[in-house]
Amino acid sequence: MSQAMSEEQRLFFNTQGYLVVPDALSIEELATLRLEADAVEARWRTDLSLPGVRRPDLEQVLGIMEHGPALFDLLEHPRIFPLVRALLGPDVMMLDHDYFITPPGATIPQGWHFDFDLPGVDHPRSRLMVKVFYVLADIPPDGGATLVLPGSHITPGGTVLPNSEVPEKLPGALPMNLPAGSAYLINDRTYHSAGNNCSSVHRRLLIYTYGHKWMRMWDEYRPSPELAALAVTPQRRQLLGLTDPYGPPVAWEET
Amino acid sequence: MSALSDEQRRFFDANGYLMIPGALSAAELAAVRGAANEAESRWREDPALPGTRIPEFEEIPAIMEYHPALFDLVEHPAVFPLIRELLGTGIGLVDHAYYITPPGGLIDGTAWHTDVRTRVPGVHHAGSTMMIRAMFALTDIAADGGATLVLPGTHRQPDDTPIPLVATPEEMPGAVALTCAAGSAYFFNGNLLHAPSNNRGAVTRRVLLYNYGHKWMRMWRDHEPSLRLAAAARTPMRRQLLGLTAPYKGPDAELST
Repeated sequence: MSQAMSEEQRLFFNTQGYLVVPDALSIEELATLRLEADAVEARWRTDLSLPGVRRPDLEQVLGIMEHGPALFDLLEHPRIFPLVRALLGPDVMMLDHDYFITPPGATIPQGWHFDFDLPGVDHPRSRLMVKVFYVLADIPPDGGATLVLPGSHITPGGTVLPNSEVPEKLPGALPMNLPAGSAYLINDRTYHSAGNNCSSVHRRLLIYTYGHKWMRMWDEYRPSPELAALAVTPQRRQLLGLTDPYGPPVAWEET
Repeated sequence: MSALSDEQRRFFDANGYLMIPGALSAAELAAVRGAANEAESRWREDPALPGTRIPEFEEIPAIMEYHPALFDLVEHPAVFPLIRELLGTGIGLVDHAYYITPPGGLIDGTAWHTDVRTRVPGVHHAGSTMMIRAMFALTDIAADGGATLVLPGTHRQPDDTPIPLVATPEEMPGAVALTCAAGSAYFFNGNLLHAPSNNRGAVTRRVLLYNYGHKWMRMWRDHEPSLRLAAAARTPMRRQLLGLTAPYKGPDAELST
């Protein structure tokens, strides 16, 4: 078992369904990622053929790892990825990866959801996915922070929980308004929503979602030949879904 | 209307497997046997074709690639609707093969296993149904003829339950041999403990395997459909089964049988 996760962190994630990691990124790492993310954003805005979501309430640059080496390496960030591996196990694989930009004024009515509600799976006692959010810009309390409902991840599949026209008004909602450089993790059954961005600043998040290598990656996130060629280690190849889905996982160095 | 009778559902839930005697009509069995024979001849003539070639067991993987009749068997009306009901409308296919077990092989007790316990981590299998493996018998399978052995009820055991150690598969206490006549089908939960048994009869055992999962699961290595097979998947259900539709969203295909 990886020693990267403390018993306190594990217990917290197991019972609450989320985990905050303050200062996950160093100042230098944050600066590098911001530069790359800014460059990608500029290119994506001018080239409408690049995939993503372009709506008033959300801009999503799809497949962010395709756009820069630091964004690719963030996949195995030394402070965060070992936590993901400790939670999912050695057969961890990437499912999707995006840059989310939420402009001021964005409203998210009825935005609460589970990422997964899959028939056949005993969800409360399974863990299919861990989603990591890296905060690239300070998120003020009214800045559209992700809201989570702690403990909701143990609800059985098919459970319908209340929604809310104003996401922040769901009883028990906990906002992830965090400073730049923070990271937070949720699992596939943590009930969550984006918040309304009533502030004057854009919310900027990099999102890396991990699952198991026997799961299908969303089609639009399958690595390009160029990205696959950059995956020179067995570990990186597994993360990109380039290894045997049901065979033994790669070995990981303990950190 | 349910494809499974109440009795069938109760039996499967409790035991983890179900036998469908006479799943294939005589004409269907003859057609499928003909297609399997063709596939086997081609496979034997070309050692470059993938597969397992050991004395006690021969396996032709990705058998649907060899013949349209073997492709169509994936949606056989006597079997597929039942499995779809157990797995859900988001059913997918994980792998498919032709198993040939000649007489005389030696299999020891370590052959007992579940299909999902080690290969599908992250899931609490005792409460989940991730795979259902269907087998179509192309020959009569007697108790000493290499029948699949199952240990009823073990699909609901906790994932860390140890597998009892036995010298030969047949010595497992409580094991049930799935004997059947040619044309029968049986299927079992991927978390059910099972094993091949030794073929001490005089007849080579021949079964076609179709292993179903969920459309958001990847196919077995080297089972991604060829361009030719993908082009032959002309219905929404066939495309879903081959992993050619969106994995986590979108409408599930309706039954086309």
